[in-house]
Amino acid sequence: MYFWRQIDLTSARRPVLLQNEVDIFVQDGVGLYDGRTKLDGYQNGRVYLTTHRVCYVDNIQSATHSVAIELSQVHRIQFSPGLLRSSPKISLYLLTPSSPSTPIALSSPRPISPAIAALHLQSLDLPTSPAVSRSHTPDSNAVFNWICPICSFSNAMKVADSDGPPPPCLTCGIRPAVSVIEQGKESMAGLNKTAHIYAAHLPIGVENESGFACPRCTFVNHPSLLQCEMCGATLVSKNLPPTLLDNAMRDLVINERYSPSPTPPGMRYNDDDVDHIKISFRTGGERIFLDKLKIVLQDRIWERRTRNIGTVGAVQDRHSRASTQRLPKLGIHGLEIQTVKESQRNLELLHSLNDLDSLMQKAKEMVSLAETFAMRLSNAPGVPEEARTALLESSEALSLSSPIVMREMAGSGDETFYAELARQLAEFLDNGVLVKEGGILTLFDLYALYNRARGLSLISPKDFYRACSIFEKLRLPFRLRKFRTGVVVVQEAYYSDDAINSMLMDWIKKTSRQRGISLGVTSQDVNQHFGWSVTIALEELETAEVSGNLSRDSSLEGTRFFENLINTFQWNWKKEVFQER
Amino acid sequence: MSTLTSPISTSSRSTSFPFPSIYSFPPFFTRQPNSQTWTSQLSLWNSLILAYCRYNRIWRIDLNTAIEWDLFNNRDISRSLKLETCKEVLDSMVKKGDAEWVSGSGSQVSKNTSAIIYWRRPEEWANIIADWIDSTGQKNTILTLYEIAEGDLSLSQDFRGIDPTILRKALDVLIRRGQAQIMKSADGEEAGVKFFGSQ
Repeated sequence: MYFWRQIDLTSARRPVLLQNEVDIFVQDGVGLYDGRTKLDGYQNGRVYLTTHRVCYVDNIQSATHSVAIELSQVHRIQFSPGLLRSSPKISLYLLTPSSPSTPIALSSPRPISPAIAALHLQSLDLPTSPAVSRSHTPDSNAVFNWICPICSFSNAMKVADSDGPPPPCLTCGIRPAVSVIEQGKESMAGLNKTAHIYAAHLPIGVENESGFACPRCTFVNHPSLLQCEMCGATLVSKNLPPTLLDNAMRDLVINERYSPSPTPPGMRYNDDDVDHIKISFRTGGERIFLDKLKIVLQDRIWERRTRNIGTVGAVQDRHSRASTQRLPKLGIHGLEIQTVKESQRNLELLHSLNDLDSLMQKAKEMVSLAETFAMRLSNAPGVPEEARTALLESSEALSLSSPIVMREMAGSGDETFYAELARQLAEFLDNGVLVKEGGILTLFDLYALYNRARGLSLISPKDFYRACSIFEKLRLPFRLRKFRTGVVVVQEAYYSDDAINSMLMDWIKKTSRQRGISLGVTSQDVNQHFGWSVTIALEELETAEVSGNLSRDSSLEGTRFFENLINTFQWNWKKEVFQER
Repeated sequence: MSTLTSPISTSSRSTSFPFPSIYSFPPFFTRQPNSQTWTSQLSLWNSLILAYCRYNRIWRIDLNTAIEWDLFNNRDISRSLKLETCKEVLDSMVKKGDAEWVSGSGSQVSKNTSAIIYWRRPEEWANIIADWIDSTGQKNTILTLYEIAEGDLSLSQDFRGIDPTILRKALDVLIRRGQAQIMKSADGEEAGVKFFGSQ
C-alpha cells in the first residue's frame, strides 16, 4: 500500500472528485497488487479512471478500503493479457517518492521531479544540452518559446522574464498578449513532461555530429533519415520543435504498442518489484480501461488546472485577478476592456447555440454563465424574490455534482453501468432533492428531475428503472417502494413502511384533536405538512387505510381521512337505549 | 289495516332517539373500502337500525322513503348514507336474520326496496304473545289478528301495532309448537286464531 492514498467517498460510495476532475471509466470486479503481492482486502472492488487519478473502491469495506493513485505519478503502463487462470492485468509503474530525489507532493500538478527526469536522461546516455536539461526545471534561467501571433516567429524567452511585461517580437516588433507568453510556457512544461515520461522506453534517437543513433538497434543513421536504415524504427529527434515533438510522441505511443526493443522498457524496474502496482481485471473490461488510460495519460488533464482558456469561470477568474492586481482601469481603456469582455461572452453564446455538438462542448460554460447571471441577479436590488429563487433553483437543477454517467464509461457488462447510474442517482438524491420532496419521490418525478439535471444524453426509462431497482443491492441509502396501486416511489431506506405509517398516524391524531373529530385530513393537508407530492400523500393515506388505521369519508367536497373509529367503536344498543339487562 | 302496512312517519317521533357518537363520525356514512372496517361498519349499522326501529316501533323499512329519514341522514354534519350502501346494509341484516326482504305489492320494480325489520325475532314474538295470552286468560278463546295487534287488551304490549307479516310468522311458531291454531271462515279466509294453554 505504498503508493495508494486513502480517499474520501460520496454518500453513494463513489470517489469524491477533485476540482475539474472528471470520471472517465468504471470497471467492477478488480483486485489490486503491490508489485507481485496481492493486497489483502483489496480484491473485490471497482476501479474508477478519472482524468486525475485511478481510484479503487472496495465493494465490501468501502469506508476503509478505498484508495487512489495520482496519474501524475504514473510514468509507464504495461498490459499483460490473461493466461489460463490468471486474469488480465494492467501494471502501472510509478515514480517512487523514495528515489534519490525530493519527495513529490501528491497535489503537485507537475508529475515528475526534475531530478528523476534528469536521471532518466543520463541513463540513456543522452548528451544533455544545457537548454534542454534546464528547461524542465522551474528555475528562472529556463528558456521557452512563444510564437508571435502576427508573424508566427518563434521567440525564445527566459522564464525569469516572463512575469514582466511581454517583450516585443524579435522579427516584427509587436508586443504579444500575456496569454501568448503563458501558452508558450505551458506547452513547454507539458512537452517536457511528455518527453520524460516516454523517455524511459520510447525511441528517442540520440543525435550527435556523426549521425542519428537508432534507439532500437543503435545503428547510426544519417541525420536526415526518418526511419532507421537497419531496423525501420521511427527516429524522433529531440531537437524537433516542441509542438512537432509532442505530436510525434503521441503518434508513437498510439501506434507502437510496446514493440520489442533490445532494451525492454520495464527492465530496469523489474529488479525492484515495489515500484509498480497491478490492477487485475477479473470480470473483463481491461482492454477499454487500457485504451482510456492511454488517452488520459496523453491528455494530461491534471496539468490544466490553470489553463482552462475559454471557460467563463477562468475568464472571470483572470479578470478578477487582474482587477485586484492592477487597479481597475477607468476611462477609455476600461471601456475597451468592457467591450472586449462583452463581445467574448456574446461570441461564446453564439458559438454554443450554433449546433448541438458545440452546445454539448460548451455545456459547462453555459451552466457557469447561468450561475453568474443568477448571482448577479440575486445581488442586484429590485429583483422580485420569485425570479431570484427560480433562477437559483434552475441553476441548481442544471448541474449534477459529478459528471453524468454514460454507458461508454462503464466497463464490461451492463451491470457496471447500472450500478454507476444508481450511485449517481443516489448522490443526486442526496444533494437535497429528496429532502425538498419530503423524503419520498415518485419514480417518474425523479426520472424527470434527473434527466433534467443530466441535460444531455438522457437515459431511457428502462435503464433508469433498472438502476433504481438495485439501490438495495448496492447498499445505497435509498430504496424503491411500490404502492398497491402500482405507483413506485423512491425513498430513504431507513423510512420503513411502519415508520411512515406511525408518523402519519401521530400527525393525524394530533390534528384531529386540534381541529375536532369531524374534520379529518385530506391528501392536500398531508402534502402541505410532509412535503410529499399529492399522489404520494394519497398513496400513503390509502396504505394506512388498508392496514385499518384510517377510515375515509367521501363526499362532494372530496375524500377526507379519519382515524378509524369504526373498527374500535363498541355500542351495546339494547343496554344503552333500552336499559335491558 | 292500512295504518299497519304503511311505514310510520318518523319525523315527529325520532327526534328523541339517542344516536350513538359514531353517528356523528363522517366516515360512518361512507362505505369503507377496507373489508375489515366495512364488516365493523355493517354491524354498527345493523345495531343502529334495530335500535332505531325498536325505539320508534317501526316494523318495515321502505328504502324509497326511508332514505330520507334522519336515521340515514345526519344533517348536523351533512352526511347521508347512499341508497346502494343502504341496500348492502339491509342485505347483510337479511343474511343475519335481523330483516327480511318483502316483495312489494305486486309490482316487480319495488323488489328489494322494502324489508321487515326483526328487532325481535318471530320466536321472541311468539313467546311474548303466548305469555300475554296466559296472563290475560285468553286461552281457548278465538282472537282475530286485528284484535291481537290493535285490540284493547294489547294496548300496553310491545307488539302493539305489529306488522301482520311478523304476527303471522310468530303465530306460525306457536302453531308448530301446538299452542295455537288458525281458524278459517266458511269462505276459506283466515278469520282468527285459537290459543291453547302450554301444557
